[in-house]
Amino acid sequence: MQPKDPTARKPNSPAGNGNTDQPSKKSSNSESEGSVISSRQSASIIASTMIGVGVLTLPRVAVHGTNQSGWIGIVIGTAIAMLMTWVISRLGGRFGGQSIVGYGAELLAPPRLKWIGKVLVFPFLLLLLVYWGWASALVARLFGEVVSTTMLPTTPVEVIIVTMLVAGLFMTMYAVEVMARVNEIMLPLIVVPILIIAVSSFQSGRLENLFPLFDLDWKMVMTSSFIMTSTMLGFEVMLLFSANVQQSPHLIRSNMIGVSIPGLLYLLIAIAGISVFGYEELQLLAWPTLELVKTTEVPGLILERLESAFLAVWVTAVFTTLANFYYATALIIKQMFKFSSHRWISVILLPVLYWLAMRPDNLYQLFATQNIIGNMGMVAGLGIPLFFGLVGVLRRGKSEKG
Amino acid sequence: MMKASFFQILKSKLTSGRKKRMKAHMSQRLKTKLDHMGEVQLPETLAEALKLVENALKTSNDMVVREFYLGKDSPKRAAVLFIDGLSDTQLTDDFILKAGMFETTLHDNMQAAEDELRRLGIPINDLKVGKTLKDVVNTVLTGDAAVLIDGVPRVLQLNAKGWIQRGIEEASTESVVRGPRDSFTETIRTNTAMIRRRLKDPNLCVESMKVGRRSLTDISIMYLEDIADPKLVEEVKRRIDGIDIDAVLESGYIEQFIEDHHISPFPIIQNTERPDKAVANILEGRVVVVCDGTPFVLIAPSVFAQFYQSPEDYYERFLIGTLIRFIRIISMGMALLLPSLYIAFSSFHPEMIPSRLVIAMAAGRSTVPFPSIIEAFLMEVTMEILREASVRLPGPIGPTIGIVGALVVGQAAVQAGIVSPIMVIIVALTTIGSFASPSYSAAIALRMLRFPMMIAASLFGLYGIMLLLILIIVHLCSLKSFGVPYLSPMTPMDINANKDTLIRAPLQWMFRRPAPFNPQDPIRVGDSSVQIDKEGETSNATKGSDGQETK
Repeated sequence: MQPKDPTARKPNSPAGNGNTDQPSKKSSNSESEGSVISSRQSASIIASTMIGVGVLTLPRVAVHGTNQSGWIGIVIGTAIAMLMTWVISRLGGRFGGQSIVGYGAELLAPPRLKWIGKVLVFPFLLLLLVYWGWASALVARLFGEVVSTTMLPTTPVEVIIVTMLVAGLFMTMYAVEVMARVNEIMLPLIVVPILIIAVSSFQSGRLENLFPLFDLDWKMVMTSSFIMTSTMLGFEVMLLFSANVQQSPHLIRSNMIGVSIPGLLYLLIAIAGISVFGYEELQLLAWPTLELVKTTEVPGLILERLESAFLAVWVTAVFTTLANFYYATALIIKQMFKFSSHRWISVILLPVLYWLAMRPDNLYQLFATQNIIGNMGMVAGLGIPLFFGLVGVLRRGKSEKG
Repeated sequence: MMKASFFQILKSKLTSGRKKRMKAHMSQRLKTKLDHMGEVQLPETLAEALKLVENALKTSNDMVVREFYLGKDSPKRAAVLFIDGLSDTQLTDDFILKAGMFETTLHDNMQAAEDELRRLGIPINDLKVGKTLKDVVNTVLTGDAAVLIDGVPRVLQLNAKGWIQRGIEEASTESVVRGPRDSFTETIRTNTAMIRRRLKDPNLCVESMKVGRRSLTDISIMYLEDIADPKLVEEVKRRIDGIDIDAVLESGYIEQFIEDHHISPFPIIQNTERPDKAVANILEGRVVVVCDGTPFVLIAPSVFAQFYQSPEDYYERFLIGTLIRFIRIISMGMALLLPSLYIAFSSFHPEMIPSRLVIAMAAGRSTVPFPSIIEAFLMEVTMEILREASVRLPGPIGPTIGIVGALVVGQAAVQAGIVSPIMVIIVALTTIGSFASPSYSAAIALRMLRFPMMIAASLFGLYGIMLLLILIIVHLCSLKSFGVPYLSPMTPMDINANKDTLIRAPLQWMFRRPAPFNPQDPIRVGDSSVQIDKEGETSNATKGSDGQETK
């Protein structure tokens, strides 16, 4: 029963939202698939990429160095992330329809010598590519470690990593538009349970654990903010996806909200962790947020010992982070080397990511690698937007003069 | 191809060989016998014409050919042809034969003036004049009467349809407590009339098409011209036009040919047998496809949210409508998740179950020789068999088998120690839950997905359930129905349309039609609709009286 007209099968789009749909054949060769991401979806992508594995270790990382005032680092980290997101959104707005691959080359190219820009931007793209790929592998590994130690003790960690990566692969098989929708619909599924856990764990918190409020020196605050910013990474995927975002006056505002959602959540969790355990005890816990869940009792609930339920919900948070990074990796390779499709790239990436995920031998090495990746992410997430933002300002000045 | 999903690529790879072979056929629509008949002009003499028709319909013993003399003054030889059983014999006797023999006067040169033929004294309102053999055969086969006149190379096509049809009955798959009781029947005209009766709008379009080379099934595409997106209407028509199949026996054939995604458990196009539901959907800017021979009409495009919405939600007051909608969502979740949650909790996370319950569960399961996945599969498959069997069984035995199956087998299985009592409760809840969905096809999707869900739960516990749920959500996000994202208006978010998604807001608040369907006329509830203030008087009235006072 083959159709007479093969194009009759194509999901054509007579009734899409404004310009969300593009002719499918054209988009394959051009860099972007059109403006398919609404500003709300853009905010969702930022927020759900940021909320990831970091949630579980967050209170411990937060008190590192700043003791009971660890939450200050989160506030500053969120502010930095917001600043960077603002820069990225402005860049994306200025070069509508282009990602870092396109406008990076354009910004760095001297007049009439476009290829120099392409060469110059290459190391930056490579950094992003390696960071995103490695980060998604590490997210899978960290997740696998947590699940296999707490939830499924008899399941090998490899199986969990593979299933998670395959789930990520499944999402990368679809268009950017689908990824945006997945993020939009999953964000509430991520935020609401974590919010409930964070708020309800305050019941066993003690206020005195938070005092004295400002007993710290500036050096410490700086280090802490730096570390906290690295846990807030994820917004930098918009360097790539901004090519597909519909430009609207609300875009920057909603992106800011997108950053502030994880900021607020992290702040709540960190304060809850510090007030329940105190900073000294926190430093001894491997997964402090999980311990936080264990102390929480929701009265009247049928279920006891909520940590498995929390982890189950947390799967969605990890999935969006992993899959978005995975998607970004495949997409940036596609755009860098002008491939026609990112799908085969992501299939080929799967074993690579698995290999990267399995490289650390133990939890200690894993955390060490996480630090390296965190630093790399800081360069990618702070350095690249700042650098290109600066170049953008300079070149705009020049072009106005000229 | 680039935008196609992984599965579509896979599918195209797998079927490419077949496609090549099919290409010869695909390049041109298959020609039917009827098409050839269309090239045959009718001869002048009646005898020749009759010979042609009888040759074309050689072994149709149910065709009646009655020759008679047409006209009371200067009679001419003529013949009426119809199929016994499809045409109303009373009508052909009284208004064709009787009128033709005794009351009609013939014009002299009818051959020249086709108009004269149209004004012939035959008191039947729907009259057409054809020229070819195809017209004759078509007329006869659709149940109309054809009149051939000697010396005139034309055929009179007279509406004489009158076969036995089922009366309008209550909807059997979508019954409601409050709301109209009538449902569509198998006759397309009755169905379109039922829609038209509820929508006396001159903008309501009924466009007819014929699908199926052999069945020549009548299809009507109904929409509101000033609301429905013209691109959508065009797309629906284009896709239906592209169907080249020998016969269309039910609207399901059309659904499967025009849907966007073939490999998906979720129904991309909604069907209904309720005229009120069809009309409500037309009013939202959708297109309804009515197909002859089935009481199920198609609604395109559809979104996921529609599958837990019932027309009754709108007839009851909004709080009740919203609450009932919540109940339905919960029950659909139950239908999908309960058995797998049982498996996950009992074999992976027993620590999450409260200690007293876990003891009771363990005591119930102590005699069960199987792991919980086998136990659950056994019961769920049995339940599916029971359900299927009770559909097939003759009417009065159906409920009996339900009782036998559910009570006797369930009770006996527990006593025999094959399944635990909790499992029986879960199976019962799952089954009831899956019946709460107003859409049968959506309920089937959940019924189907329950089994992979159980396997995922038996492999990875809660993690497996979440993982599969995520995959399902990603899949749902990737679906589109005629360009409308399947999960809209939840994503892409549309606040206004969300007033009628999870909740059902008061009708006064839903003043705009849902935007995902691109309605041309977005306003549903006008500003001037009467607002009732607290004293129970209409504000318009108070305004009026105020006005009078100031005068």
